[in-house]
Formats: sequence, structure tokens, C-alpha cells
Amino acid sequence: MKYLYLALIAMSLAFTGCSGDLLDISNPNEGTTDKYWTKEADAIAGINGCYSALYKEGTWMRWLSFRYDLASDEGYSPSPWIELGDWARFNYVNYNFYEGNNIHWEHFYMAIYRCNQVLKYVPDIEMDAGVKTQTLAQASFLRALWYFQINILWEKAPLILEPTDAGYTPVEATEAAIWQQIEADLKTAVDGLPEAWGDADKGRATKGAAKAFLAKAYMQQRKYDLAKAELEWLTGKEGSLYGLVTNWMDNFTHLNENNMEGVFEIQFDDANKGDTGNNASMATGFQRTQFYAPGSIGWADGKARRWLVDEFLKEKRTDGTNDTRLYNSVFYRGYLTDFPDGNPLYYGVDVAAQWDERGWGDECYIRKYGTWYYRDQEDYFAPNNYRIIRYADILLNYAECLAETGASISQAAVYLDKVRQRAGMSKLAESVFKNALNSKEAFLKRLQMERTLELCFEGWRWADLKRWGLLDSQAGIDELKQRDEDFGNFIVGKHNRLPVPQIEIDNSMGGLTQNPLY
Amino acid sequence: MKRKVKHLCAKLSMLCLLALMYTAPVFAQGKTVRGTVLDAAGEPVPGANVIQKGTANGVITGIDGDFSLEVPPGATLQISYIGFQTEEVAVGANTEFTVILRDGGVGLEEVVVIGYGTVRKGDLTGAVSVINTDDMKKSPSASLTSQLQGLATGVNVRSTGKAGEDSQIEIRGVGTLSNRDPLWIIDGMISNPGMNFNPADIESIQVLKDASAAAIYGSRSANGVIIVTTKKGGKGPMKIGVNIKETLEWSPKFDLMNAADYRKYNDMAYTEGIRNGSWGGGLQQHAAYDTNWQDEVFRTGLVQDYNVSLSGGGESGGYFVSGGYYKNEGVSYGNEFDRYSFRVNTEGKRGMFAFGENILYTYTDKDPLQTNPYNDVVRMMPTIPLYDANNPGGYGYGDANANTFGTNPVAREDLERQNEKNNRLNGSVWATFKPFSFLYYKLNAGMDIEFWDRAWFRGEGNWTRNQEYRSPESAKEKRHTYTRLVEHTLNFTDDYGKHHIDAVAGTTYQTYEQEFLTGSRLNFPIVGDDYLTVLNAGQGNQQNSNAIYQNAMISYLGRANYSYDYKYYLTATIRRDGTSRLSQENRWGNFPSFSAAWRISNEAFFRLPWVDDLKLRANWGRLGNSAIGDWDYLGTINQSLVTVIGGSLKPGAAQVKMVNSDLRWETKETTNIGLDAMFLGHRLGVSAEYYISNTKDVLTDMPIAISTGNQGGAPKANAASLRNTGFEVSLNWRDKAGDFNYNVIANLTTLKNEVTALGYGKDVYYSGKTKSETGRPLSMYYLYKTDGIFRTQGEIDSYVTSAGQPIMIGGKRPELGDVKYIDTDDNGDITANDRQIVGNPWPEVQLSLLFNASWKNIDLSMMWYGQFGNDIYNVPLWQGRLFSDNSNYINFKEGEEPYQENPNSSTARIIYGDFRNTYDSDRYLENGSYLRLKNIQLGYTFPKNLISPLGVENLRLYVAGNNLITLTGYKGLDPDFVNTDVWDRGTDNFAFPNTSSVMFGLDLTF
Repeated sequence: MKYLYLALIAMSLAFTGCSGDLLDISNPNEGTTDKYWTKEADAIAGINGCYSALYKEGTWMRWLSFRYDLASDEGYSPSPWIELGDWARFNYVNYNFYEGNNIHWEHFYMAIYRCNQVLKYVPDIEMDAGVKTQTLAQASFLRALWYFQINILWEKAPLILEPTDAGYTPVEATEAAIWQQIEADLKTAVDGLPEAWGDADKGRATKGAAKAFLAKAYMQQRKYDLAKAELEWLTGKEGSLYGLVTNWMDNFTHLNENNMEGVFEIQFDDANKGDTGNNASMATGFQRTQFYAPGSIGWADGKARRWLVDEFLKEKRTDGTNDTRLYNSVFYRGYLTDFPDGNPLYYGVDVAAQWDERGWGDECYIRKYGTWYYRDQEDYFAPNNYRIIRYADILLNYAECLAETGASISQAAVYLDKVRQRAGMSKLAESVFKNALNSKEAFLKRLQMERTLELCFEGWRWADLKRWGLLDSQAGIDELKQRDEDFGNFIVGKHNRLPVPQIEIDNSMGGLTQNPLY
Repeated sequence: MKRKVKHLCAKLSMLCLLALMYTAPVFAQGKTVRGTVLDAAGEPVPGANVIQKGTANGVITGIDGDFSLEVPPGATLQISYIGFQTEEVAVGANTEFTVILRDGGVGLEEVVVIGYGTVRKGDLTGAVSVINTDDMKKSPSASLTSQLQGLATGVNVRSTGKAGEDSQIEIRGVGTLSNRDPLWIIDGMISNPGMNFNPADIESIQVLKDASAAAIYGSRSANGVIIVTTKKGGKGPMKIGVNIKETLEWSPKFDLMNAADYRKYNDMAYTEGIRNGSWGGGLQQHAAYDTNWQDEVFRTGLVQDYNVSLSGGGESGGYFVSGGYYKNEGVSYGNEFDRYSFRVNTEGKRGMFAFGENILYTYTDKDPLQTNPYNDVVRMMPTIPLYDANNPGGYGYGDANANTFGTNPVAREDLERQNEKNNRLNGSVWATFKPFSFLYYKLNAGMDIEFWDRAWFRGEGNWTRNQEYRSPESAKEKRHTYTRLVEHTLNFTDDYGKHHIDAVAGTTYQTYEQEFLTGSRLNFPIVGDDYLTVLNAGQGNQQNSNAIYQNAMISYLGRANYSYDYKYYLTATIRRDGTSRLSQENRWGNFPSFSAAWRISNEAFFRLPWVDDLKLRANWGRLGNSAIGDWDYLGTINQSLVTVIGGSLKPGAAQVKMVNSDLRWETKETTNIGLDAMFLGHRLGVSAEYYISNTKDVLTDMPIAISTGNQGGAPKANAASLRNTGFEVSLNWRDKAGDFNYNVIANLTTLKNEVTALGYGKDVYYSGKTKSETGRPLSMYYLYKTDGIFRTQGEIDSYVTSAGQPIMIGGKRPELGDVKYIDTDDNGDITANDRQIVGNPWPEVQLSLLFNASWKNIDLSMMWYGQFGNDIYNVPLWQGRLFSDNSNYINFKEGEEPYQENPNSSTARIIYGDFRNTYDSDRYLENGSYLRLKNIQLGYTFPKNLISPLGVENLRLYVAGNNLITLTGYKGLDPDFVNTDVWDRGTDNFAFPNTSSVMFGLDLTF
């Protein structure tokens, strides 16, 4: 019987042997949120995570250029993907079309969520006060950057200033309320950001970048006097902090990045060659180049409108040659005639010999930001920084503010002339367009053209058209239609902004409404 | 500390086992009875259940109908087998028995495994289906899951048609949204059979469908439980069984246009686009090719399935050893699957002590598909050549004059090389110790170990237009999975006069651990005429990743059965589960159930001579589900984000994915009322159930607002509650006329689901094409409603709102031949607000019909399966009729030609570059009802007198056809498809169709 008891004891032990502690299994893959945001290193990594949001297809990395450059009169999309092209020509059928609409919403709010985490949790971290201020200022800057894009695209949206929980139901805020928040965030950024960073921190937002965006936010609201004051700070730093680079092309290659002309740049790099996920091998390269390069090299999903070429050719440089900004902005048949010193190779292709063989036709292609200058093909990892704001833009904005706020036109022209002369052009007063100095209206009209010649395909044309009111009247649309037939589809009061993603409205329980006429 | 506790637990189990082994020889008692079970014709009945009446003590007869069982003196043996009446034999002084089973008792008497015990089917108080494993063998599939279709009420199986990929199974409709797999128990081990299991080894299958039946499994059983028992060796000399199946398998195909027709309609659409202003270019300059993409991709595949089994045993043990080889060449290019399996089941006993083990080793080798060829063959135009030397890689994929973003499936399968190998060792070891006649203890230790390897390589070359340059890339992935289970149970059973009591109590502890390790590089050199693909040959961009998944569950279980005089039955079950997947506060769940039954036919007052048996059943129970990710309740910081600062990569961090930290158990409460009856001398069996199940706090990954900024997938939430109600009726008729025996079984299931609550406080939830709303079925189609096409100017003129305002479609007035969308909100614009509920993805009725007949040595069987009342959204039809962008087109049947060609047809005007006639609308919604001959089989068994002299015991040849006839109005390839997205369940998104096949088979025993 002894053995029987032994067995029974063993059985009863077995029954009670497993304790509930066995269920405490911690996640070995990632740290938990409750243990994070406790030290300075967490704050630094957190703000880096905010910048990391720039490497997503819904930003300038890829699709945002379709909204700003291709929907505007500078470019168009002849994509063989009909729906993709439709979203660059005001033909919106499916309001959930991901690449044209929802991806922007998704990636902007992803980025805002990261900023909100820093802004909520970093204040409670015990750390160096200066670093903390700079960290919070950067997060404020980036949050404003994203809300700026939201206002440009949809003109109303949820205004989320703290991390939400999963059950959040969107509620819309007006365009004005969002501008107000953008201004507040940018003022925080202006106060907290340094004028410049050391080499190890190049790429972070600066006080000048925050002032530049604040000025642009004011300008979009036509608060030109407020904008002028911010821009003056930057122009006052000309020669010390900012300036125009001699070689205009240095604004678009990876060869001279973060130079004095760069006010805020997305730091692109080709070290990583992964996808755009959230992992250590995530891509950090510029992808739009693949979409814009001509057929057989890229996909020619975005092309330039011909009128840009014609407009450039209207005026010669002081040395009698054509404006090399044309050569460096647009790739078109016959460019070697206009620019005999131009490179006869494009991505290694002998252009004269192979133009027709490649089927490039009479279309105009976007050369700006292409990597033809150092390699034979494009891919998803172009390393050249995208300059969201550069000093030439500041000068042109400042000229516009001066003119708008009653300064003399000749005074405003000083800043335009800096940009013209760097490109080898004469002063406006000495040019074929000198009549533009005759009135404020003529000057501002000329400035519209000067801006596109300098800044085409740099992501500002759509905001410019909105600010100038060209989208608010049929007369404006008719003007744009002369340059871009896609504006034939444009309905005033409707296509000024995108439709709000339908799925977001559907599940907002009435918190969001669709934009007018959609 | 945790590690130590685990070790302690394992040690105790081991100690217990050792103690048992040591004590076992000392307490032998009772006596061993032996016998043979024969049918009325004197043929042995293998697989019959022999149990000691009123206990769980039992065995299954061997291949020659023999059995051997240890019973106490005075016991009664109960012998049962499907299709026969149950016999009872008092043991008395005899030790040798020959039991003759009479035809007729349809199922009610057989012994059913119900989890930690067995019960006579006639004594069941819950809803349990017993699968006839003979019917399963008629399927050519390699997967146990797909072989189950139509074999039990309430069980629905949908196949993917891909070689090496398992089917999807659902018991009683969708109970839970996150994971619809039932709990599989194979020989006592929790283990999904998947593709790494040889169905030929199966002895029996029971499906526990309702709460009272499944409650002993508590959590994870909300989707039902399937209990699989594999074969065991019988007493006697070694039997050798050989089964051979050779199957020819093919896929259904689309009715696509050839080049001439494609050119005609493509030009027509372009011409219309030019006229319409939606296309600014000219017509495509078509190349002269006429590629039939379906012929290039789809093929008749050969499926080979060979099994050999050896079984036998003696007084104190038995063995079953089997080996199997299965090869499926696949019905489309680039898809193959091979499986080798080897099983050893043995058991032995001495005195109070018995042990056994069931071990399965499988090795699979799969070449998975890299693309969905069903989509590709529609999107690739016939004017595109298969090969084109001008393209990188040398394959054709279209250009500006064959403008598509379709994938050349041959190119992709050639350029992307993938191979998956899996080694799986799976099984359990058990030991029982029975110190008293009324009590036994069982230790069950199970394991399931998988080593999975994946190799992937992509060389230079493209398969579709607009692929960015990517240098040659190679990736390797390894995944190791360990599942361990330890269970201790005590079983008690005793009779006091007419009172019978049995009970079980126990604990279980299960752990799961999986680890991934992957590496990849870019830029692999070509040596000779091929790449080196081993990672070390890669010259750049070394990447690696590693992740670990772990979870554990502890359970306490108990069940008590009481019955009186085979008339009244009561069962109470309780299970308490703790899971590591929920927070400490919400970790434990209690899952009780209660059931009762009344066998009216045993009452003295019951005198209906034509009713042989009648039992009423009712039960209530609560089940649970926590089949979510291992740490879904824990918010985590992704510290692998990267940004470029100061010219180099810097680490970044953020919470990327949101969580709901208060996740709770999902529970499912089911009330079940049923009856079982036998009529007309056991010729007619009827089983009927009505059930209401309320699923609360469904754990689902219901998408959240995009503006939360969440990435990485929707967080899990306790996000909805559902009610499922339905009837299940099973009718079974069995009779014979002379040498002609036949059996007809009809299974009918009705399903109705209703949303009772939705997550995050919503009462309406939209997802893509569907809308879910409380009070209605889940995921109803919410699309534009249409009313034909405009055929006259008068119809266009009268297309106005109630106020007389002209209605605009996409900002334009319609033209002749355009689709007429209903302006639901009457505002003069067709917008998203005009969508309506226009269809239901849920079938109302599922039906299966089985027919088995034999005449002398010839047998014939058929299985029909159908479902009725659901709508399917036909994406292939949308794509094959999409003239606004390019693809190949589905042939127009006579009278269906586009409006331009035939103004009387129902096909709208076809226009390139204009989407007005292709909105997601009810035009692509079709009735998904179908009735299909799932299989038909004709067999011939050689007469004994012919084969016995050759030493052969049994020899049968058969031929079978699968999916040869389908009656349906659905225009897609197959109305029976799988869409795993519950929010879009009825959408045929180029789902893989079921294949059709003809199978030749041989069963040999000697």
C-alpha cells in the first residue's frame, strides 16, 4: 500500500504544482510604454521618431508631390494607372483612393501622433532643461508642419493635440482653428529652437525654419504684415546664416546638402534599402525621382507642362544664353539646341541618338531632383535631400509681403532681383519684364511667374495658387486652363480642396462632414 | 524565478510519472476478457467500441474485429459501432466472447469521445457530431480540414485550391471575429493538424458544437472543438494496410477573350473615350500576339497519395505504425507540395498501469505561389507575349500599347524563387493508473515542435510594368515553434442501483514559444549561368530580424454526470482558465455549463411502437476565447525607427501601434435545445437542434479612425457582440432490399447572425463595401443601387430629383448606355451618401446530402453540398468588365455585348478613362447559392474466396470524382471560396477556386 500512497501523493502534488506566476510573460521584443519616457535618451529618440515620419510615401518622399506639383499648372500625370492620373486632374470618383487621398491623411496623422507623444510625455522627464526645450520645440515645429499640409489639402480636419486612444471618434476643426494652432506651435518652435545645429544634428529644425513656416502660415491667411516680420529675421541673417548658393544645382543634389540656402530639408539617404515600414531597415531615400524620370528609366508618371519651357525661353541671361534653371528643371526634346553646353547624356543615355528609340516623344519631363547627374537608373533610394524651404523661396515670399503691405515696388524688387541675378538674369528693371515695376498688381503677377521659374516642382505651387486666389474664381481657373488643360475639370468651390476620406467620415458618427460639392 | 517555477512543474509531473511506473506492477486486479465482434454475415467489424458499461473503460476492436479489455467481475460489456445496434453482454464467468452486431442502430449507441472521457452517443446531453471517417477518405485532399466538408451539420469548410494550403473551417457560423478556427484535440494534444498531418491515420473524429459539449475545454472552444483520435493496433498478428490514391486535378477557368475579340472591344472603349473626352491619346497599337494566359499558367496536376500501415498487438499492448507520402503538383505554374509522414502509436498495459504514445513526424516541402494567377490571367492582355527579350529578365508584361499593371505570373514564379520546408514532430505520451475500479488517474504530456525554413531569392528582372530597379536579393527565414502540454486528470465512475455518477477533475498547463530569425542581403553575383543565392554571396545591405512569441495557459477543469435509469441525465461542467495574453486583472475566466436530457422512450407511459428511441436535450453554457496576439494588451515602444540626422542613421522611437490595455475574455453563451430519435425499427434516425448563441466582447481587430495616427494594424478590442441562431437537422435513413444496402443522410443547417453591439460605442460601422449595424447581420453590402442603363433620351431626361433637378453622376449628366444609379438622398448628385444596403453575404441554409449504397461487391456513394441565400460580390467580373482601365475582358455572351454594339443588352457603354459605369454597385452582386456534387465514388471489393488464397484479406478498387457538377447562378469561377476578412466576407476577390478531380484508388489489407 505504501506505493499506492506514494502515487496518490505524487498525483495531488501534480495537481497543485502549477502556479499563476507562469502566466507572467513579458514581451521580449519591445519595451512597454509604461517603462518609457523616463530619461533624456528617450526624449531624443522620441523626437527622432517624429522626423522618421518624413520617410513615408504620403509625404514629399513620394505622393505629396503629385498633389502639389502635378495637380497644379506646373505638371500633370499621364500615368497609365488611370485612377492615379485622375487624382492629378480633379477627377475624383473613389474618395478612399489610397495613393491620392487616404495615404496623406494616414501619414500626416501618424506623424502628428508621434509629435503628440513627445509633447505629452517629455515635459515630465527629468532631463537637461535646454535639451528638453529644444526637443519640445522640434515636436511643435513638426506638428505644425503636418497641420499645415492638412490645411492646404482639406481645409478642415480633426485637430488632435494629445495622443488619442483607439476609440477616438474624429471631430472636425475649421481651417481657421487649425491655422491658429499652427501659429501657436510655430511660435513655441521659434522660441525654443536654436539658430543652427552642430554637424552631428544637421537636419533638425531651426529657429529660421520655424519662422519661415510661420511666415508661410501667415501668408496663406494673407496676413502679410505678420509674415513680413518673420521673414525679415531670415533676410537679416543673409550672409551669416542664410544665402543663395552660387551653383543653383546644389539645391537639388546630394553633393552639397544643408548648405546656406537650405532652410528646412528632408534628409534623404541611401544607406537603408528596405521598405517604408517601421523597422531598422526602413527606406530613407527619395522615391519620387523613380516616378518622374522618363520611360525606361523611371515611369514618367509626372511630367512638366510645356508652357514652363516657353516661359523660361522668353528671357535670356545677361550673357545672352538661355536660363540654365530651365535646363536643370525640365528635360525635353531639343534641350541641347537651347543649351549647347548641356550634358548630352541623361542617365547615361545618349539623348541625341536614342530619344526616339526610347519613345520619349515631345513630352516634357521633370529633371529637377533627378539623380541623372551621377547614375544610370532610378530606384526607391535616391540620396538627395528634398529642400522643403530654401532661401530663394524666402526672398520671393519677402518680396511678395513687401508688395502686399504697401512697400514700394522697387524695394520689393530688390529681393526678387537677388534670385534673378543668381540665375544669371538681369535685374527686373533691366529685363524685358520691366513693366512689372509699374504697379503693385503687375509686380505681383510677374512674381507669380518668377516663383514658378525658380521653384517649379518644389512643392509650393498649389499653396501659391490658393493664396493668390487663382482657384477662387472662374477667371483664375481660365488662366490656369491656358497652361494646364486639366483645369478644365476644375469646379470652383469644389476642387480647391480634396474630399475628406470617405471611410473616415463614415465611421465618425457625424463628427466629420464632407467638403462642399463632393 | 519564473524559470524555476516552470522547472518545478515539469519535475512534479515527471515525479508523478515515475511513481506510477514504479507502483504499477503491484496492483493488478480484475480480469481480462477477449472476444471478436462480427457482423450478421460473420465478417469481422474493426473499429467497434467495446466498453465496460457505465464507465469510460473501453477499447476499439482491431482489424479482425478482436478486442481485449480488463474489467472487474460482474461488469457488462457494451459493444457498439456506427450502423449497428448496440449489444450488451454480461461478463459473468466467461473470458472469451463472440459478439454479433445487428444492423440498424444508427449511431445513437456508439461511444463518443467528449474530452477527458467518453459517453454513449445515446447518453449525450450536448450537441456532438461524429464524423464518418470512411466518408472523409473520398476526398483527394491532403488536409484533414478539407476532408470534413459536408460530413456534419453546422460544420462548414471552404477550400483555397492551393497546393499545400489548408482549408478554413467554421462551426455554427461566425462566433468570434478574430479567430474562427475551432480547437483541435489530436490524441489529447491541442494541435492544429494543418497540412502536417496525414488524415489516413485517423480512427475517429468528434465535433463538439455547443457550449455544454465543449465547456470542458473552456477557453479557445468558442468556435467548437474537434477531437481526433488516431488508429491503434489490435490484438493479433501484424496487419499490413496499403492505400494508394492517384488523382488528376484541374482548375476551373475564366471565359476570357482571345486577341481578336480583345482588340475589337478595347478599340471600342478607346474610341468611346476619345469621343467622350476622357482619353486624350489614340487607340493602342496592338501587337500581333495572341497569348492564352490561362493555358500558360493552369495545368492538370497529378496528386499522389500513398499510405502503408502496420498494426498488431498482443495481450499487453498494441502498435500502429504508418508511413505516408503525398505529392501535389499543383494546378497552376509554380506551386507544388510534398509531404512525408511517419506515425507510431503504441500502447501497453499491465495491471493498474497503462501507457501509450502517439507520435507523428512530418516533413513538408512547398513551392508556394508568389502571385495570384487568377487575377493575373484576367489582367494580362492576349496581345502581350509570354517572353520578351527587350525587357529586363526577358518576360513580356505590356507596354504603352498593352497598357496594364497586371503581373506576368510565369515571370514572377520564375524570377522569385521560394521554398518552404517544415519539420514537425507532434504527439503525446500518456499514462493511466487505476488503483480502484471507480477511479483512475491520467497523465498526458504532449508536444508539438516545428522547424520551418524559408528560402527566397529574386534575381534581376521584372514581371510587371513600372517595377523599380532592385538588385538581386536573397532572404532566409527560420522559425522554431514549441508547444508543450501537461495534463493531470482524475476520473471517477460508479453506479448505485439505477443511479450512475461519473466525474472528472484535472489541471492542464500549456506553453507556446515561437522564434523567428531572418537574414537578407542584396547584390548577388552570377557565377556560370546562375546566381549564387547563399547569403554569404550577397555583397551588400545585410539585414536581419528576430522576434519571439510566447504564451501560456493554465486551466482547472471538472465535470460531473449523473443519470438515472437511462432516462434522466444531468451534466455540470466548469473550467477555469488563465491566459498570459490578458492583463493580470483580466487573466482568469470561468466557463460553466449545465445540461439535462430526458429519454422519454424509456418511460413506462411511452408506448409508440414505431418510435424506437426518443430523447430531449437542453443545455446552457459559457465558452471563452482569447486567441489574440501574445501581448496585445501591452502598449509598446518601437525603438527601431530610423531617421537621418547629421548625415547618418539615428535611432528613433515611438509608440506606433495603439492598444486596448483592458482587453477581456471574449465569451460565448449558448443555449441549445435538441432531440434525438429513432424510428421504424432503427431505420430512420432524426437529430434536431435549435441554438441561440450570444457572443460578447468579441476580440477583433476592428479598424479604428485613421486620424488616431495608428499604424501596424488595428488594435485588438472587445469590440462587438453577436447573436447566432439556427436549426440543425440531420436525417438518416438506412435500409436494405436483398443484397442492396443503402443509406441516405441529409444534414440541414440554418444560420442567422445579428449584431447586438459594436465596438467603441458605435452602433454603425463601415468597412469598404459593407456596413454593420446593430440589429442586422454583420457586414451587409452597402453599395450604389442601380436601375439598369439609360436606353432612351426620355429616360435620361426624367433622371431628375423629386424637385426636378437633373441628377449628376461624377459631376456629369449621363448619356445613352450609362448606368443609372439611384439618387437615394435625392440631392441631385450621385455621392457616397447614395449607398444602400443591397445584399447579404451570409447563407441562410447549408445542406448536405450523402448517399451510400452497396450491392454485392459494388459500392457507390455521393456527397452533395450546397448553401443558399447569400450574395457574392464578383470582383473578377468587375475586373473583366473594366473598360475604364485596361485588362483582358470576360467574353460577352450573346445579347450581353456592350451598349455601343447592342443597345438592348444589359452591359453599359464601355469607355476608356471614365469610371462612371464601374462604381462599386449592386451590378456586381450575384446570388451565391449553389449545390455541388462534392464527390462521387464507385468501388469494387474483391470477393474473399478469390483473394484469400493469395494471403490478402481485403482488396478494394475505386474511382472517385470531386467537384464534377456544380449548380449555381454565380458567374465567377467558384461560389465556394474563402475570404478571411469578416468585414468583407462575401467578396470573391480573385479567390482561389476549388479544383475538380478524378481519383483512382486501391485499398489493400493483408
